[in-house]
Amino acid sequence: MASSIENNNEKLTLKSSDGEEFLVEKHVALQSTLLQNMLDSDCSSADVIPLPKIDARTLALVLGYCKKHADASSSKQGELNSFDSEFLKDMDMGALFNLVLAANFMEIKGLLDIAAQKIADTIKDKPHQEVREIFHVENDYTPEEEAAVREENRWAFEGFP
Amino acid sequence: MPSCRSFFAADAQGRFMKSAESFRLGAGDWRNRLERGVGGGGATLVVDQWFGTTCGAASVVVGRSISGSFGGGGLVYVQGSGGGRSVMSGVSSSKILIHSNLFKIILNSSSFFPNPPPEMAMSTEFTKLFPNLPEELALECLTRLNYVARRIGALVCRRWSELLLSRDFFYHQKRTGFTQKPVVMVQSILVQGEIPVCFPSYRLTIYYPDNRIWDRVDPVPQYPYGLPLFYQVVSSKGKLVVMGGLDPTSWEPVRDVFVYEFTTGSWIRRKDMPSCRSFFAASTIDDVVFVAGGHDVNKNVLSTAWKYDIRADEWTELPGMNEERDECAGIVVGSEFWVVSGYATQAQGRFMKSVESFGLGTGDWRFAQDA
Repeated sequence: MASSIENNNEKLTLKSSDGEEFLVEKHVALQSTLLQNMLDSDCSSADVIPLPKIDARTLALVLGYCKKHADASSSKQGELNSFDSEFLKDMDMGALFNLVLAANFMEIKGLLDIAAQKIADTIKDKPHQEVREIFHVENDYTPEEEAAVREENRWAFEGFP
Repeated sequence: MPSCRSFFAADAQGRFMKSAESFRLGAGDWRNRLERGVGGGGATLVVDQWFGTTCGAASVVVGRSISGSFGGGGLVYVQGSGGGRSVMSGVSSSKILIHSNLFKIILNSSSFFPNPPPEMAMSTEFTKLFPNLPEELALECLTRLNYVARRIGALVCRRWSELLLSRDFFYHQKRTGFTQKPVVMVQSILVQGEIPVCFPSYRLTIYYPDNRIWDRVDPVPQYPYGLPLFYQVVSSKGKLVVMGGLDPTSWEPVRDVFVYEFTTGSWIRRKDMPSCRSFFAASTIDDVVFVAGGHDVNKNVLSTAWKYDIRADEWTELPGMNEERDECAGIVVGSEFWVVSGYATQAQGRFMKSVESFGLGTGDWRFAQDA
């Protein structure tokens, strides 16, 4: 087994889908179960680890999240929570989808949780037409069907056009 | 009870209380002081927040002339009384105003939602939820959708509707820990427009304390203008049971029973009550509803009691109480159905001190003094 995990100063290199390389401290990389398993299974840390599904912009965000969570002690949960909400605050839906994909691929459960929750919360308090646009979902209702569903749930739509 | 009061409350944390007095089931005595938290569980907190009191639910009962009962076993409620009407505004937002009467609160504990079935068939139904995400990740997101927001989601497209409004999805959310505890209330609502009701209209509303979201329960299809009057509503494992009382428009006594299921968000008509009954006591445990007292269609006060098995949709008569009790309050505590106070036909509103309880195991009624 790799004994290198014990050495916090060691770094490894991740390579994004668009070819950018990121030098990451090992204890930060361990936030990802995928990377942890790779290191446990004796991958040489000298190798560049390719992440073909994650672009540089997303990977930078993911590593920012990992660094914050790796560096913070467990007693600073409140600080982490405010970091998390600030981290996602102005993110558009495309970036959130990329984060969910990356968090899922790299197996970073905390990040998957907050990004998926953020996406779900987007649906709250929005008219359904806007939800369709945001998620690029095609409307397959006939106008009559839509009116019927709307009528069934009319209490939910007070205040919406 | 030491004295007669028409406004009283009962709680199932091991005490009955009445104005500023509480009856300790364990010690079997009455105490003339309030204890903080006597209302039991989270209800005290919720009621406190809304009314801005710090003395616990009981002071709300006293100070606001709200009568009724606080229950347990996943159930807490406050029953309203007195004049005035409450005005709610902006139900779809979190800025809601409750000006006066909070008519009844049913607070559901974690036992409210039934345990979901072990597995959820997810293979074929969930296709292409989000065009830009794999299905399992789209489901990860939608699983975190609030119960209220699912109605908006249902309007987006057919697939979302089929998913979000399905019982399987509800159980999936329950299993993964994404359902929220609701507080269900009966409130008098200011209704806009012309409705054939000359009295405040009563509606069921829901508040999710965790997310601070308000919602309404759809009206019972047979009662579009509001709930019956002087009826009862209880909750059991993700269901609400509405029964008896008077038709809100004609004021005719009714025997109707309706069950609302949170899993599907819909009302289902069930087997009628054996006879018309209003102003009665009701409580529930393990999907069985107990009713007792109240009065019949001729305003004769009743001592009779029945139980209703929600799953079997079946009414069964119980032995009668020792005394007739109109406008009594009921609560299941442990293995006993307690019926508190009330008055006989001849007494005309003069409430009694007596309390009796039905042993679910023993099958007979006993006065509280004998307990």
